[in-house]
Amino acid sequence: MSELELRIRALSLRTPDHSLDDRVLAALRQSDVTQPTELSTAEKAITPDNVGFSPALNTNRRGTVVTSGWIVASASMLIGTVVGNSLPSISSLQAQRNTSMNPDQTAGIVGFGRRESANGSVEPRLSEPGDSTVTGNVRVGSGSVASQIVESIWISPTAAAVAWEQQTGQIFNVVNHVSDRRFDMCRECHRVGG
Amino acid sequence: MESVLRTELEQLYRKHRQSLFSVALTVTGCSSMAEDAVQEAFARLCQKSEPPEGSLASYVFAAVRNAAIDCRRRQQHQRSITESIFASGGSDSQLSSSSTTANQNDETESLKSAIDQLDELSRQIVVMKIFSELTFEEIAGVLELPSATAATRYRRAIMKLEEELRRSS
Repeated sequence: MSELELRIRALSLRTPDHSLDDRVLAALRQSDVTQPTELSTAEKAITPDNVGFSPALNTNRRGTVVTSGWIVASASMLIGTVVGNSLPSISSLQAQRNTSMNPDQTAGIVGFGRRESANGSVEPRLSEPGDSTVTGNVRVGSGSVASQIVESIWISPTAAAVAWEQQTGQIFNVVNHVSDRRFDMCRECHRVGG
Repeated sequence: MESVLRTELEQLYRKHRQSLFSVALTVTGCSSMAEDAVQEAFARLCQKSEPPEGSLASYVFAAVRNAAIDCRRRQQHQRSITESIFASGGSDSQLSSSSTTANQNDETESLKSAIDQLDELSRQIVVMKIFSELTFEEIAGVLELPSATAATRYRRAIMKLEEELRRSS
């Protein structure tokens, strides 16, 4: 070593903080505790890995897992089918219930399908130009008003607006219905790009 | 096997702790980050179950250096700090005990300053070679360089230091 190298060696390097020693030594000793050491022969003997399962037993266990998987999958499919089939039947049930409603019953509903004319007589409310931009386009077909309402609910979101008008007696305004969270049809409407 | 490795790591840490810290400090420039890097490196080393094939010292120095580089990358948004790798207040060996004149103290400070001003790689090589007495092969393993390159860089660093001292005196 040259003189300069000796002089450099004589310098003292900066010493790390004592906390570093604690941290490093703790890490070394902690891993010593947490990581299991190699098992002795006696310990290995009682390890589950060393238990000799017979091939038949292994096959049986695998078979049980596969079978139970199939059972779960079949049950899920069955439940899905039942629920799926029940949905249309509920709608048709509602349709029947509403269709069977006679004009007197509908009149009992506040403002339902009725409007006062200029001369004071009550007449069924039909869409008029300027009332609603939706109803004019949707109100087609024949049959009772109630059946049209119910059918239209399941036909298109705009028909749902007609139904709402007739149920509430209010005029459906396309411009400001967007922020009106009371109506599920808004969501439907927007979903179809209305 | 693992406990043997950890015992070796502990011994190595006790022997080279200052050099390891200094190597980390040359990379990070900040003592607290350097300490974190050393701790992180040893935490990673503890996860290993097999000892390295080559020199353990070289392996540990490389681990500390890599951890320090990671730390520096993580903290790169912070301002760059460069702390000296030497303890303040002179040396603790026969040099300081025998030479008490102001002139010699100045020379010591100049030497420290000159080493601190070396480039990062050269400082690491000087620390590992002089303070930890690693071979050039081991140093090359740490720095992922050919050993001839490590030796050349060391010689150039020493020459540069001699020149600096001559100039300052």
